[in-house]
Amino acid sequence: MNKNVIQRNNVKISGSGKQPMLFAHGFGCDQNMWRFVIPAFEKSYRIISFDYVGAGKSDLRAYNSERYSNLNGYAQDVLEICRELELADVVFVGHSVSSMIGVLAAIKEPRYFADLILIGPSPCYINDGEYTGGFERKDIEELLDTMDRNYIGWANFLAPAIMKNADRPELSQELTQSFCSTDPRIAREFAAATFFSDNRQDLLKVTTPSLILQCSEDIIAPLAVGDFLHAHLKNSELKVMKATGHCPHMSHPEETIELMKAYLRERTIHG
Amino acid sequence: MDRLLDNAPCGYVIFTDEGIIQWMNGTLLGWLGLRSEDVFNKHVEVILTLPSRIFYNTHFFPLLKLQGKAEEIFLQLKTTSNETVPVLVNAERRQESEAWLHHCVILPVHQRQKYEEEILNAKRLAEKAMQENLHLQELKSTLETKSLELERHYRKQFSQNQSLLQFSKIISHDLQEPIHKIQLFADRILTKETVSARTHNDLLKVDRSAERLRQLTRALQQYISIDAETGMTDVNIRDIILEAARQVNEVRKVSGSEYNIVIEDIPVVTGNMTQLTLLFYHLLDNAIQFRDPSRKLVVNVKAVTLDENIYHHSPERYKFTEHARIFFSDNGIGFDMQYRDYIFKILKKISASDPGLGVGLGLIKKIVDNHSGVITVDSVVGQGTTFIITLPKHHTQNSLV
Repeated sequence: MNKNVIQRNNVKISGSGKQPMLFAHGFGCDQNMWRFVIPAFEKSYRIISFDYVGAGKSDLRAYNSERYSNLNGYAQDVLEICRELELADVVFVGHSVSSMIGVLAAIKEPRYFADLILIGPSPCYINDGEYTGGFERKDIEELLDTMDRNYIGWANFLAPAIMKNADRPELSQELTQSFCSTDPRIAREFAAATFFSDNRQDLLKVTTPSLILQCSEDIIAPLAVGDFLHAHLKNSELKVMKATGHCPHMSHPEETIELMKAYLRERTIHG
Repeated sequence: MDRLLDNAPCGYVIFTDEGIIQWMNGTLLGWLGLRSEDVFNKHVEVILTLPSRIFYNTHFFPLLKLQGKAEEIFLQLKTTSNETVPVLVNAERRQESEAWLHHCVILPVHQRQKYEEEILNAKRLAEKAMQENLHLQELKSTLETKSLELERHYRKQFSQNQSLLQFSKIISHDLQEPIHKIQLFADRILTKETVSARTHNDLLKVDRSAERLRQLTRALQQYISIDAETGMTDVNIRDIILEAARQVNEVRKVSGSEYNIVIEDIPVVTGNMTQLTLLFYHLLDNAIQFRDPSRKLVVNVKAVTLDENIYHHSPERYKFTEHARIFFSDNGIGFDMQYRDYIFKILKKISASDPGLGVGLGLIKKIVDNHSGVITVDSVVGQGTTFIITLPKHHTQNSLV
């Protein structure tokens, strides 16, 4: 049953370096979001980017609600790619929810990973007592509603890709043109898996060194969250960026690249 | 022209790549209850509700940046009096002089929103009903196939159990008798008859081989009877490792001071106490047998809790539950990793001259299987060996054991 992982996750490989750098996109998008950053690393790294099952040009038939309603299911995508390509010493670069997916993967199979670069990470989006995640439950429910409204005109709303026989490439093509994320049901499940997740307990289990890239004024991952992560991730470095918003790799690629390079340089020296 | 746009019957806002507002028309300012100086040079997010800010960051902005435009996007604006304005947005990304700017046209959709809400609710209901229906149908057919499969498994298991039972009987009774006799008569000749030195030696070999055969049959019997053990309780792994160490020391006649065990925090696991004790008995026994004579043996046991899929043999099923992953490491002689699967087979030894019977690791594997767990091994020759055992933390009615 091991479908070809490379095709399933639309894995793309480029670059002329040896050490693998694995780019994992966040919720609401696909690997395209890395196109402003990847060229800067192609010379020194072997670049691997992919779409999670359900996103971009991945194989929608491989989508499984049980598996992907949990971030561990997404972490399995990452680990299966590592296994399939026999990767080692990976620099994992994850945006947003992919940061926690990377954390889960690195706890399960630390041997694959050399470093984790976490862009706009948050271990828990919902406020909980002393902890400030930034959102209340009802905010997330309203987000799901906003998503539903933006998918309202879609013909396939009633014909979800979860039905295994819904093999209609022309549809998915049309969808990727209007949104990075493909099927509305999948997007909704990914949103719920993302924003209702709580991985605070997992942070202490990580042994892989990490860089936290924290944007100033990021509504999705506020400063307090970055501090929390830094305090709980062993061997982590926290950089607060000049960049605002939640997507510095798209809005401020130069600063993102510069900070990544500085961190990696430091790591090779003091490794 | 600017004046026309300023008063046009639609909202208009221009912001930079960084999301900074450059201009907002009077109509939109009016809806929001703001003045031009309130928003100039502010982030465009400030006019959005919190959920819409998420959507802006995860969908709207990436779309604009990557596709150059976004059409008919639904968002909610927030007024100064904390009311929300549902709107549709069309946006385009344009290069003007040096900078990239995003132009957005905004239309309120108060009336349409109510209508959409009804459609959405109807759609959700229909979708849910269809999903449930589909799900039920799938479940029904899966259940049927699984029942048949289960029946086949059950039959096979039943006949296997019958054979095992007989086999176990043969080992524990029928085979013991001839072994006993071989030893008995060999002893008798050795003690009572005068034989040549060569015959004496041969007889000693017969005796030793019979003794080995006896131990092997006992080990085999233990291996088979492991399945008969049932009953799960909460097991404190630390306690059973210490108990296992006590037993190993007694059998191997080693003192506890000959090696060190460091046990870190290990979560409580539901399991069979006897089997798990036996598991750690053999792990420890293995570590002692293959210790490096040039240094003191140090055994380190630690664990991490993580969520793993409880289904191992149903490829399309996922249920992530808490598991304890236990690392049992020694600084022994290690072994070549090409043997990593081989060592878990019953009665297999890497080299015939290795001490022991080759039962322990086979037993360990079986116990781990009985607990719906997974065992793997990492070893470096000359440095040591780490056994990695992943066990479900809880066995409830909904889980497998």
